Amino acid sequence: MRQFQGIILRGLLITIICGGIGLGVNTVWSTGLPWLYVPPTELAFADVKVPLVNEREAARFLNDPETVFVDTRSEEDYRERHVKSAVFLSPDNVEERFVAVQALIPEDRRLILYCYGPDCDMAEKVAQFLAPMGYKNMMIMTSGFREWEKAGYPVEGQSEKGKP
Amino acid sequence: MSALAVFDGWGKKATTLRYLTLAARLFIGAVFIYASVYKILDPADFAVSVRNYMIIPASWSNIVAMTLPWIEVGAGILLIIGIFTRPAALLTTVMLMVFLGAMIYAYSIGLDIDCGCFRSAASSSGKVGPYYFVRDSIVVIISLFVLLTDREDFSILRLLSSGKASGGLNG
Repeated sequence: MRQFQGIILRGLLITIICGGIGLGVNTVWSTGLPWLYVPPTELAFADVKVPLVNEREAARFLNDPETVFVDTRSEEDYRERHVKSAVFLSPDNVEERFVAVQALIPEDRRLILYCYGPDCDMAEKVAQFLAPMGYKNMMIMTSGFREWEKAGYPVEGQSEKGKP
Repeated sequence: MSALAVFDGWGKKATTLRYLTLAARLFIGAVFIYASVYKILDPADFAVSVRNYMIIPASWSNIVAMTLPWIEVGAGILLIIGIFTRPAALLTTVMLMVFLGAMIYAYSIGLDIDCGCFRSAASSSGKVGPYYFVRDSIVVIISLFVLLTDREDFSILRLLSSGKASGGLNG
């Protein structure tokens, strides 16, 4: 037992020393990371600023006729469930898919793009494609469909959950 | 006294087990040093991977990315040179079990760790799955073997001190 305690203590010592070295190297490195990660509040594509919003902020625009939600997840997941009245536009083959949905997303509308969750980059990729096409009023709902549905906001699809 | 001591009276078998332990130690050490290199060179990318697993708060991901690779390389070096091998093996075993648990969790909730998204099983990237579970479980077992059986035989300190002793006798 005492021997195992010694192993654990030495293990902790190694962890502290090596972890300290890592923090020290990060401090002196020119490309070092900030100690605490803070997610960005907006992105920029082709001089178009794209604010990042959560599901509560996005829900304010649900019944706004000037706003279109854009689902950038897989087609299979879109068909299963999506934000009510959202249009499907995935980054896969986006040029071809865009032609099919262009009439549904006029350039002067506010677009709210979303994918699965905070670290999903599919909405960013679609925004990056749309920015040079003349879309100046876009937002990305970074919390994603998962949080939208968890919050009980309206969804539709082949298997519906949430409020009507 | 390590678990290997029970084989002290076993002659050749004890020697075989010592060499097996050495091989396991060197393997785990090499794996950890190799795995830590890209993480040390690109901690920002590793931080994204940490966030994609969604098992710790995103705000902690940078601290994990800054420290974990150095703990990996430190444990790997200690295993290779044969110093503090059992504490190092404890660290590698714990880290491997945490990594395996994170993979199993990600797989169970349909998380694609490439993007931190939830995809249908048919469209997942394949970075987690039964093959990886088996592979990593084997590595966990090897690391556990080192933790339980290593006695710092063939350590660099013993080799140096035995070299000095033979040099003194001859001198």
